[in-house]
Amino acid sequence: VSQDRRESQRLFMERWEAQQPPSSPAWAEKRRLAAAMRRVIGGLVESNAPEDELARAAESLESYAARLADHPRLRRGDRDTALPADPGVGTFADQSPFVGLANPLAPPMRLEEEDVAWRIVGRVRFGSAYEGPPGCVHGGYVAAIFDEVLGFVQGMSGNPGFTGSLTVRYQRPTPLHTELRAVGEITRVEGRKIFATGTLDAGELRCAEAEGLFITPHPEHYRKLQRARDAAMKRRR
Amino acid sequence: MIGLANPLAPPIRIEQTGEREGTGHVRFRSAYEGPPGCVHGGFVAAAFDEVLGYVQSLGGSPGFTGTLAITYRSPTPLHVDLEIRCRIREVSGRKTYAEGALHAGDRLCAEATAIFIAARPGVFDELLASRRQRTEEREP
Repeated sequence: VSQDRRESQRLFMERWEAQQPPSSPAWAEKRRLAAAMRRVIGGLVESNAPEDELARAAESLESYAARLADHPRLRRGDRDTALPADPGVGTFADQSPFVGLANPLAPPMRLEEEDVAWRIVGRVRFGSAYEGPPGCVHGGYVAAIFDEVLGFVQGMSGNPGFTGSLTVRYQRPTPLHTELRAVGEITRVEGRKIFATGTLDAGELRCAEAEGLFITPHPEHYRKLQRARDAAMKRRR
Repeated sequence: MIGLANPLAPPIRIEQTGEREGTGHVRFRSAYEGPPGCVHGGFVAAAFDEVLGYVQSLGGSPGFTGTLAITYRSPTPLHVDLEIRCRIREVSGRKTYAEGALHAGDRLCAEATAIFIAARPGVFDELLASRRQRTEEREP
């Protein structure tokens, strides 16, 4: 069993590592732009800048948003099929709202393998834009980080699924501006069901724990979602 | 999640619909994608935390999230108006129990239950003081 675990994990991590370098110069620039936007988002939330400074920034961003809208939309199918073996992780490194380097919403979290089968460690530091209680990470983002870490580790089973249920228990407020360690681990697999647990620590302090149940869809179900999305994209053009 | 001055917020618009209930209205765009064309499960959970957190504050004993449990019933679509209807089920001592459902039109996408625990007096002030100190330390 442990050999099978290693093998399914190795195949999964190979696909993940293949996504680490940007896939083209344009995607490298997209990551750079996202990094700049991330600084703007954090800076804006913390800033006490005067009205005229903010108005100038709003005007230049509004005109940039209009220019960006003039370009054709990304044909997401291209990215998805770049890694035909596992369309589920095809766009993950760039587009995920939690780890994606080309997504300005992402803190971003960094995922690292550990020397234990079916376990992953996420390292993340949340800035002021993610604040809930004073000086603390919003409880919604704590839950969301678990969905991402457990959702990633369950993919190591070889048959990644969709989240069926997620339960988060908050032990103490999670601090902002602090390196956090989120660990996710598969505990068992029963047919199409994958069970995973997770912990979130700030140094020695346990901030939250979670359990997730993931359900492997039939392959046709995933392709149906892709086709529906592509059709919806066309309608929105 | 609701802040008009925070670019991370979709934003969610929350309205009170009863003495102890409220509804969040939201439309997620492509940046919030998880499965193809669908909202990332993490944002489904985060949206529930926000709307349930608002509703529990109507119960008279507002607190911090203690437990949040989400059951995902069907993929939540992007670019579609979603409704997150939440209500308080019970207030018992320091605990407030709340529940909610997320719909896309008639389709149920997810359900949630949560327990909020009122903090002992002074906790909020301590957090404010510690944030003030950290802000000063981080001042350029």
